[in-house]
Amino acid sequence: MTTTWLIFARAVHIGACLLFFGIFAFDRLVATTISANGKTEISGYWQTRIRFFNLILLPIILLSGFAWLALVAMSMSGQPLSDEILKTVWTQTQFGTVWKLRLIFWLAAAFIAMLFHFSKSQIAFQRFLTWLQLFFSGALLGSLAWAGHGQETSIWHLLADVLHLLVAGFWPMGLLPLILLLRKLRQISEPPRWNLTAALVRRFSALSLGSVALLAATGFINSWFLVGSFSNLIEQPYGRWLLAKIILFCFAVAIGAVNLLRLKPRLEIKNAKTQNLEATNDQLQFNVQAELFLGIAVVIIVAILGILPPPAQ
Amino acid sequence: MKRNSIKHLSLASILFLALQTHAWAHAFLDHAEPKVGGTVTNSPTEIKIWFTQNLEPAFSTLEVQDAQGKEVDKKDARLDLKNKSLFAVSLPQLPAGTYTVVWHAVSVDTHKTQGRFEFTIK
Repeated sequence: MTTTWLIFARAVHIGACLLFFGIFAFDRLVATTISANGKTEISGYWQTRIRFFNLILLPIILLSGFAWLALVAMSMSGQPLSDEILKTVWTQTQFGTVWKLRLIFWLAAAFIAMLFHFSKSQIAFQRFLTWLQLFFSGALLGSLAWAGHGQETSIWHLLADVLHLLVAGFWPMGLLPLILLLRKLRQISEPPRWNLTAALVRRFSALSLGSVALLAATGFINSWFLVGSFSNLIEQPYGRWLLAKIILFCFAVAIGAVNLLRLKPRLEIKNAKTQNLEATNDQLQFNVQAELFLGIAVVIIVAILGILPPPAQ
Repeated sequence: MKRNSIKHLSLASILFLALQTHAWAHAFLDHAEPKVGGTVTNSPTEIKIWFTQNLEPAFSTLEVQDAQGKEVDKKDARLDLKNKSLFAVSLPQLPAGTYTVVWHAVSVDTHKTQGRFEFTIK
């Protein structure tokens, strides 16, 4: 029963950390295209979304992180949760040390979120805060590698772990803010909305392509240390879950390819009929939702993989 | 441009077949002194086990039992200061016989493993 809850807590925590970083990576790397034209309906909408995600994700990260700590304490000690067990894990284990450091990152992120909330009219200051939040959300996400075994094998494995987590924060988790903006752009009446849609999709697609390549490269390094051989992919439970993950990812990449090669060019056609552009936007939203759904399934598999012994050992 | 995109996507998809995620390791017995299942002529002064991962001393245990299941070590199981994957416990002078080493390990990445092995003193 504890194992089931541990998988659940891990999935929620990893998912929330990925999304938290994904929001700010998306804001700094992609959404700049919508805020370039000053204060508009769409940029106002996006600022509201950032405040919303700060408000929702930070408590989820804190609570799921605490649940993870409590469940790990029970698992490590083999006893029911008590103050003494929690204190031992908090003060005498590597996991406790990493969680202390992550709590500091969380407090910094919460403080920035508060400043962000109370500085609605100061655009330049808000931009500075989102850079800071990108850093602390990245620290919260990347430091998960130290809760694993990255440092146990080699520095390259640890770096690959950190990079893998950060890139996954952008893709597929950056798909959620993309859907929200596509949906809003479909609704608003401002004339440049199709130009903005095309610019947004163009920028996101280019960065996604790089992210996919980086995910594959860092994933390959991890495989090198953990899986050991191709037969382990079939014969070991860890390998079979990993195969399921690879298949889901392949589907997500295939959908991304359709978006990139078929739908994105349709948004770029000058003087295209509004009706056609709206249909393309709808199709794009549907596809991106499917990609995101696959991404969520992958996060759940990652949580399961975390409790299985890698075959290379 | 379109051809380039296809080429990049194909490459990325192929690389994805090798995609892996970050995962957590477990501490397993790598080797021991005296050897697992081994026979020694004199009573060893301590039992040493090298694990595949660093351990958390607060939750890891190591004991040596005689044929009746009674603990015979000095109850001072500890991690080596320089090598956190080396777990050891001291032994008093033991008579000839077969002994069982029982270990419960919690690795620094929080996972539990356990095991036992025998050695014989002639």
